[in-house]
Amino acid sequence: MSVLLDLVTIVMVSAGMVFFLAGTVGLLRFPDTLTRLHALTKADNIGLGLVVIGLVPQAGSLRDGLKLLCVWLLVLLASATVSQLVAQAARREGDSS
Amino acid sequence: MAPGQNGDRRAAIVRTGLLFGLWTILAGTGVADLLVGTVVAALAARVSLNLLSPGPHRVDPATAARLSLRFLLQSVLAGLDVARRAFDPRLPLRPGFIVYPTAAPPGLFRSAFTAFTSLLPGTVPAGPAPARGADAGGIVYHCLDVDAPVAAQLAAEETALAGVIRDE
Amino acid sequence: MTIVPALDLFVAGVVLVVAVWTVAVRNTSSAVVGFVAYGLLLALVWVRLGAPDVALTEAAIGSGLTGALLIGAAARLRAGESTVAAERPGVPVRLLIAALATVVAAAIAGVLLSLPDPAPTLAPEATANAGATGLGNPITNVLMAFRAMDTMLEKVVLLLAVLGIWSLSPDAAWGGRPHLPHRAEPDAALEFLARVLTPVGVVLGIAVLWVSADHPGGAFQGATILAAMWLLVLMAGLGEVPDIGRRRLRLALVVGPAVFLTIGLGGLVVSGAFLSYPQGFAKPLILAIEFAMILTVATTLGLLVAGPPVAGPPAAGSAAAGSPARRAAP
Repeated sequence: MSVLLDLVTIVMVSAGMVFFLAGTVGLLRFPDTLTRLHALTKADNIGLGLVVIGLVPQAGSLRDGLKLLCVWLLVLLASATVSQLVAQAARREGDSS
Repeated sequence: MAPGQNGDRRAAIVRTGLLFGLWTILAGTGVADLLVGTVVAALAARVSLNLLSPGPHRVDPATAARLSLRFLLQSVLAGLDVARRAFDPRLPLRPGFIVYPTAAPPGLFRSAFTAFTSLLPGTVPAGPAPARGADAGGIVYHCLDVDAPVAAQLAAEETALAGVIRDE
Repeated sequence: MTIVPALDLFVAGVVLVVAVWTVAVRNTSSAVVGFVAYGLLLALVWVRLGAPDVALTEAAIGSGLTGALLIGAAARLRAGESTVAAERPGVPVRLLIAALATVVAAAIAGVLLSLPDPAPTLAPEATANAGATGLGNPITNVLMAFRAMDTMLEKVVLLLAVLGIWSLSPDAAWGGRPHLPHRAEPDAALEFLARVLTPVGVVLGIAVLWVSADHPGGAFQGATILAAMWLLVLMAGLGEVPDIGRRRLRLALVVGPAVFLTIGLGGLVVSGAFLSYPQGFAKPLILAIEFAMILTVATTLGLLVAGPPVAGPPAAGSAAAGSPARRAAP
């Protein structure tokens, strides 16, 4: 059983890392602020989600697992807001130049 | 803050319950934890009711659960979409702005909609369209691929979200 | 397992690189961003050193709150930045600066290298007496019992900082309200976040205080979260900073130190020493102090970011009713 849980953790966290890597590659390769914003928010959100899901089996208790999920939800909420704020600022800058 | 209508009281109870649940996750379930938790949850619910009045909106839990699943799936697709483009040597991007015309007035539903769609594949909301002109009232979206059927996808999401947060 | 030390070294290296970059970068806004990133990385280092309490404080105060203060400062300085950047001090001044910096660095390095090994520590005593208070977190024990005097004075210093900022207000604005810079048109995305996140932040902030009895956390870290929620509500345009002359605001500012002092003086009467807690009552008294403290510190931190009052107090009778914003710092 614990081997199976460890396997879930390894697979999920590794998959999450791939998304983080993708987000970082996009950050470096994409041409401007707005496209980079896509790379960071979309890839990192799901990357963090997978890492959290991978870590839940390792949490000592149900409470710790739920805490991890709360972290993800709060990051999603922050990310949804911040990406809009940055996009608006980038759009304004683009308009004025 | 006497909740006059049933809806207000219902909102107060639901929010206190949710915040109390959060408290037990963070602080634990000992007797003292629970006692303090009821006070803290009531306080935070009061803050919540001050900031977000129950108003005409009603959140439907069953549809919300279905929407969460849909949202999870879309998040995975969004991540895959970005990953595919980032790792592709040709860097297939056709970035640009589109204006999504929506009838939703500024308010909770519209804000929830933009927050929700900011996590979908290929779109980031970039503020309201200029107040004058043909696009007035719409939402500007930045897209990774302007040729994709973005408007149709957004319309589908708006319908889905409207089933969860609806005016009564 | 050699991968863990390798990762630690990597993080330490990144901290150094970010620190150097923050100092070297010419643009003020970039330097602020660098500073915030530096603080978060430093928090990671503290976690690796087994000091989660310090990590929390570093992330909340060192990175978050100081970051907010610096962003405000950078925005204020933006107008004059090109003028300042164009000025270059003469060679003697630069040599003098270099010499002073070298002396300070050498002095710090000398002190570090001459530290006794093992370093002197009171940790065994703190651990041995941990049972005296009934608290499970040794850090809270030290802060609230063994070194309570330091903690109390720290809060008084914060209060002095607010007074210092208020003393910058023009005479006409005294007793009026500070103005937090936010965009004239309310931003829908920020407003949504403020409406949804603030109640969650209130629960989180108080929970960080509540668990500190036995786990990492504390009134200061919790207060920073509450202050952040208050500032979020203010920046979203959902509330105004209250007039600094308002009695409720003044009460919130002094209640923490006042409760601390009262209980401290009570210790003088009951147990014969200032700031000593009577046997068996230490835990509830400490929690009472911390709950009073969180209100004071959250209000103080919010006011530090809000700055000096800029508009005069309202005419008598037209005082606005309690805004929702005030409730962010319960």
